[in-house]
Amino acid sequence: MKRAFKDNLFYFALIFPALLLLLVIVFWPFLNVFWIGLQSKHLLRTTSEFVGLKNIINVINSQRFWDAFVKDIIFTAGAVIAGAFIGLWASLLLHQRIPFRNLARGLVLFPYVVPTIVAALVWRYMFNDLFGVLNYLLSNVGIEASAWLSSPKTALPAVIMVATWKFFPFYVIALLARLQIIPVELYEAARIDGAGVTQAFRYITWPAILPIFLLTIILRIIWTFNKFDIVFLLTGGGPGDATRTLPLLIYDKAFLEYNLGNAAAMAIFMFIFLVIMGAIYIWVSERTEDVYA
Amino acid sequence: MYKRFFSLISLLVILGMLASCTTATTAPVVTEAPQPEVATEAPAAPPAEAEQIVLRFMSSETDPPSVEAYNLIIKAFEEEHPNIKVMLELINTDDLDTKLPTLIATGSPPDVSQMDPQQIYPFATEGHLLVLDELADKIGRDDFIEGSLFEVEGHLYHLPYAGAGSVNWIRVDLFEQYGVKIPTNGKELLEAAEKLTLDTNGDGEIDIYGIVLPAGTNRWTGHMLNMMRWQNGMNMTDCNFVPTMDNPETIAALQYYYDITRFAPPGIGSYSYYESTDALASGKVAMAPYMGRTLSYVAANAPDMLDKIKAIPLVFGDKNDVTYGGWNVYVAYTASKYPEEAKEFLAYLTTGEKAALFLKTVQGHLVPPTHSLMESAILWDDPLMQSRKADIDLVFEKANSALHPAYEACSIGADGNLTGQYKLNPYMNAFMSQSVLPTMVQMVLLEGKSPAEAAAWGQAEMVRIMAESQ
Repeated sequence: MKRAFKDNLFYFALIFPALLLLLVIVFWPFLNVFWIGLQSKHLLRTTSEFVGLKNIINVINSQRFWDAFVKDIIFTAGAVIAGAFIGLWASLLLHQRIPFRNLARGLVLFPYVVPTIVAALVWRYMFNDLFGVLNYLLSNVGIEASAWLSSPKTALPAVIMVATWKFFPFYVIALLARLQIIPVELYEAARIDGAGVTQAFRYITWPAILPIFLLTIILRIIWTFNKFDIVFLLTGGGPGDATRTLPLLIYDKAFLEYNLGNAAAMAIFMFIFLVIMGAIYIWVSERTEDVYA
Repeated sequence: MYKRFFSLISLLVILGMLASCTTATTAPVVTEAPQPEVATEAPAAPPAEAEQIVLRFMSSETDPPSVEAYNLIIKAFEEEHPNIKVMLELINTDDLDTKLPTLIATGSPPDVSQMDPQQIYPFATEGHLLVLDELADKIGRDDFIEGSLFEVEGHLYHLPYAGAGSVNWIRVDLFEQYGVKIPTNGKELLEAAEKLTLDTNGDGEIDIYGIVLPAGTNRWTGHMLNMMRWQNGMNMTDCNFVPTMDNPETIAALQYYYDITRFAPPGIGSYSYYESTDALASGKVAMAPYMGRTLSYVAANAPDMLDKIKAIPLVFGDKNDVTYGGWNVYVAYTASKYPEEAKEFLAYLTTGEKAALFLKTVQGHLVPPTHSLMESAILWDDPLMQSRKADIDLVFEKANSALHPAYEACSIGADGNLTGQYKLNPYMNAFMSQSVLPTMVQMVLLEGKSPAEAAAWGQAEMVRIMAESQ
């Protein structure tokens, strides 16, 4: 018993520095956001006033918050779903013995490794109504030029398109790695038993990649819902509020309106949403493990 | 069960990190400036007992020639003050609004920085800026151009280093080729825009648009609407800072914005400052209202276009010819450990030969804030400044009678003329940062709302912002 206690103390001593670091860099800012959310805090003032749940109530009553929340959901859903399908398709393709496969595997990562600022500026020029290549190509096939980032109708789809392009390689990396460790014998046995391509995918490939597919989807939901840079750089939230997702609204509240309390209250709502998403993920992944164990 | 508990705790840690970092990670990135060139001669050794002072100087003047001039000025200042080292920090113009308050909040503002005029009031009244009355007296207040020194509750908190004036940059060759009269009022401007919207190759598609105006969610869009309102004889607020948006003048300005942008490129809904200049430089538009920067931009990026453009007065209305402009300023901070040295550097930056040297780094765009700089031989010792003197003179002239939203309250009288009053508006920073005017423009141009609806919305929004700011 005494020996076990000593061992535990030793293990605790080993992890203590990392635990302390975690507390300082994770829990302290996290608790601070909650604390600021309960105060009337102006960015230019050193003092603040405790206002209880006033900021939370203001957020709940704010139509602009809910509009941004819905836009964030649409942006996240669009980019994650499109990225997942393209990523799945690309990973299956790159798993086949196709010419220049290694080169293609390298090139497919290009959007993911390009810095976001570069990607956003390039796409902005491509979307330009006067000298953008996109409108030029479309006009060559008889489609009328569009003001992609300038119209409230097309701005959000355009941003979703860029986010999809930028992040679909993440699915490819994860899924391709999983595909490569599926034993070839399984496919050979299935072929001997008379299984076709569809059946092999249905009963071997899909069950093997499903857990990692779900993991990447949930990670991308969390990352996309929090995504600030690509939307900000492409449209700044405009035109109007057409692409003002929650992170951009929080940024506006904190740094343009100087209202840190309100911004923190919105960040708390984001956190709650992400906790729910995380809980769904755990529930789904456990059921998946049960089914395919 | 244990596994589930462990997973949930791990997830909470990760999500907590993500959510708590949301505001922090969105802070704009500051680009560190290249360090000043190392002096070829070793500076005089500071006295052993002298304290080594480091001043942080932040600016958004990031044109390469401007940065080069900054480095020269800093090097000269450091040679004259061996115990002072100046660290130049460059920042994107759009980030100035967010970076400065963030640095204030974290207790680490620079010693000296550039600042937008509308930020002066909130920063000064919250006690973050040094009073510069004595410094201005020492330099000589009479030397400053009228309107460039605006006070907060009887005190001066800034020194202007350059002004700006708006003009209409036109393609002279197109006006001549198609026999279009140079516009001298709003009606003629509209007619010129229509006549110069051209399908030059007869394929049924427009190749050149008559005019480019911004309609993105940005300041330039707001300034454009303001110019139309000002020239209709209307301020943004009255002398008591009460918003004056819901009135026939504003509705007429919004209607005019809608009418004239029928001859503008289809993508103006995301256009800001540079898109306007790009459109002119690329030969896609016949007219591009902008400030003096167009000249140096075209000279550097489309030199073939330089002889085809010229500046004319920008006219939207018929009450006056006031345009957007105003003064770019430097401020010093109360949090500075070395306030006297910060003021000394500030004076060094804004006066004498060094200031003139800086002003010609973006020819025609940076308007001298003092009479002595206006006449400086150094300023005019530049091929582009000399060859395009008529254009630059017009920009300078317009700058000296220009308005900036920060101090436009009360500046236009009942007769529609300038009153000579420049009252800093306590609420303008909030109005501008929350993009009230650009949103009004977008409501009419992009969302199909009527000018009356947009004007009523703008009035209500400004009243709401005022109430929240109090």
